[in-house]
Amino acid sequence: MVDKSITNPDFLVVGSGASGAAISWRLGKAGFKVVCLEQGPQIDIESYPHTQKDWEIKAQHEWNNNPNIRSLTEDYPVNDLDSEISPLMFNAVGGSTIHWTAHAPRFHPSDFRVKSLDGVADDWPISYKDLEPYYDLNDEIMGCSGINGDPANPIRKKRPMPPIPLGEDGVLIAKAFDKLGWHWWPSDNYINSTKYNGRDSCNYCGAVHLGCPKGAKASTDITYWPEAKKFGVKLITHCRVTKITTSKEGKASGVNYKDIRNNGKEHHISSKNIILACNGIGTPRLMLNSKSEKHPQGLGNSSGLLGKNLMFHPYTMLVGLLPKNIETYKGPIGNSLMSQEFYETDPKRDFVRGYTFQFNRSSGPITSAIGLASRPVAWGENHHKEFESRFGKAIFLATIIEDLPERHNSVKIDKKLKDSSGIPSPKINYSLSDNSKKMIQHAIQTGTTLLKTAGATEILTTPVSKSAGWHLMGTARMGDDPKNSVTDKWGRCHDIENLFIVDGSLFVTSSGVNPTPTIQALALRTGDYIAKQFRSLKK
Amino acid sequence: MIEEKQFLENKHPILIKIMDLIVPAIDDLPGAGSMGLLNELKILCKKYPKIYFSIRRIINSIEIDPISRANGSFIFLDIDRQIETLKIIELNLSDDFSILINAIYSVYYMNKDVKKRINWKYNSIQPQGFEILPWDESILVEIKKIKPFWKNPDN
Ligand SMILES: Cc1cc2nc3c(=O)[nH]c(=O)nc-3n(C[C@H](O)[C@H](O)[C@H](O)COP(=O)(O)OP(=O)(O)OC[C@H]3O[C@@H](n4cnc5c(N)ncnc54)[C@H](O)[C@@H]3O)c2cc1C
Repeated sequence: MVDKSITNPDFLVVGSGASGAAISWRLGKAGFKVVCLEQGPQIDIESYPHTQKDWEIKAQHEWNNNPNIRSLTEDYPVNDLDSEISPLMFNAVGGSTIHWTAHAPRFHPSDFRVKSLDGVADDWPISYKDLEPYYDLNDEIMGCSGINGDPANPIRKKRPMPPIPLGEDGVLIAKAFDKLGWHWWPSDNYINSTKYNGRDSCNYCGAVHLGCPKGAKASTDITYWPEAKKFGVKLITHCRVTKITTSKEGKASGVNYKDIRNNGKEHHISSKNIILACNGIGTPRLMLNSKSEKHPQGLGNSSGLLGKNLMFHPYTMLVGLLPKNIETYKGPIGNSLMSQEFYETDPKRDFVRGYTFQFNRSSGPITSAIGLASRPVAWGENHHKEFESRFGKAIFLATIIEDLPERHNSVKIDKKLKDSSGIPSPKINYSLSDNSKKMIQHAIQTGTTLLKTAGATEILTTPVSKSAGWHLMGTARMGDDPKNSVTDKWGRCHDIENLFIVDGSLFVTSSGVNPTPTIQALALRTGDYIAKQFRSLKK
Repeated sequence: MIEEKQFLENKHPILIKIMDLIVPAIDDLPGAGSMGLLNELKILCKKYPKIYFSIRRIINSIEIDPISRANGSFIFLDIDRQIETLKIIELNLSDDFSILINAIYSVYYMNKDVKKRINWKYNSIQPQGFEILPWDESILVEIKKIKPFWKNPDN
């Protein structure tokens, strides 16, 4: 029996991650009846592995970033055999922000005008200015540590907290950038450098990619959700939406879902409007699985673009080995400084667009041995020597390459693979473009120069990291022309007026930075739009 | 899983040898197998069955290796030949081999004597965390000399 208090809401949100939480909060605040269905559980902060002695083993298994390895009931398998990059995500309240490393950069103004500036891909139907107030709002709610003055980015509102300290290794890298005369700046992070909004400050244990037992890293289960619930938003866990149902007229009428703890029976909730926030793979999967007579190619897919133009951000990993152990496992693994020296298009190079360097860290002894983001330490007679050359001495330079949209890179429905509820799984086809390959070569050269300048005596290079599909974008792009996009500039499906999308699927291009602040800013902007347009729904 | 338990019990000598080859002796520490870490590996296999399945495939493949058979067992081969055999397995069963390596490294670097040798003083990373150099704005002196260079498409 479906609980009456959740039937026929004004808005039914599917997915409670970065974007689902932001829009639920906004619409709850505006006074709408909002219900959010999430296939995963609410994570108990006590269950994070950091306090246990086998934390590095758990990181390889039940806390792995890859759902295919984790294989929890709430995960769905993804067929990535034909993809050069494996998609990574987490399925729980908070979504992938449970695992994210919380690096929170913004798109550049130029990122919204790629076609006009460089003649490739498409311009976005919105600009940096349109998103700016929502970036600011999101920084406040998630809690941003950072500092103004970055010459590579527009000035913006003062961050609520000072930057995360760079650490000894960060200072070394910063000085190397200075020596070369290259840009760098302390990263914006949604990790508390001081106490903030009732949440503790970071104590630099490092492993933010496994969750944060102190609540110092912002994940939406501890930022947006507690506030959204105060506004009356109902969040229901363990509910896997299997299909979006449509009326005779072709409008969205509700969803079918299964309680994954009590498998078998399918339930239905009707809703006036539906908002999808299942991420750049989960959303096209659900829409493609929701075919009907009126929508034979999948819901909202008259353009044929649903699931197409998948972008990941190829990551090139360079690991510099220092001669001295400076305990490079101390401090957040993700990011404390970045460089955008090679971010904007330069006609002198043989590629368009550019990339960001991010300074990452290593981790504990097991992770060092199995080779985080690079090959494992050799087995056999060289094992100890090689381990010693890495442990506490490895500095990571991650290069985030702007991925341009290409139709053949896609999410489709796999013909055989299914999740634990019997729902067809996504299949990914993805290969690197020539432009990305050229950028990777360039980044290897410049990154090597940088690491040598920082004092690295050996450099391990991984041109494309397979297990780096952290960013899932572009599979239901926004645009003004319904023939060339899935939604309008508000995330509203061109084909179905009461169906919205708010996650990374909307991206027209990927930029050369991490996407989540942009995803959340888009969700807040859509929330504002809806709050004005749908005023009459409120009692 | 009774089958798993029996299989692993029967393969003690060969597993210990493999562990020693993967992580050999150093200083006053014996190799990973001779240190007695097999029990930890078996616990891991029980918790994560995919490790057991990989180990089983690897051992089965070693046991059908003609040279091992001709010598009675892998454990009677000379060390160079044993390493050679493992390298072939690494090539042919690369996914399984990488699971085995990860598992052996995991139990090895959890061991308290090993931690002491590499100077890793921690059982876990929380609740104590780590201390790092505090934020110091003077690091920005040089970079602040660079003029804003972001592109404004509206200009
Ligand atoms: C290890 C890791 C590190 C990262 N680091 C960074 C970083 O430093 N900076 C950055 O910007 N980004 C980072 N990311 C990416 C970031 O986490 C994502 O961009 C962001 O979480 C995407 O938000 P979303 O709302 O689109 O989807 P998600 O946060 O993935 O949430 C989607 C939610 O929808 C639910 N769902 C899906 N399908 C269904 C269904 N059918 N029924 C019910 N529920 C469903 C899922 O369970 C999930 O909870 C990282 C990601 C990972 C995995």
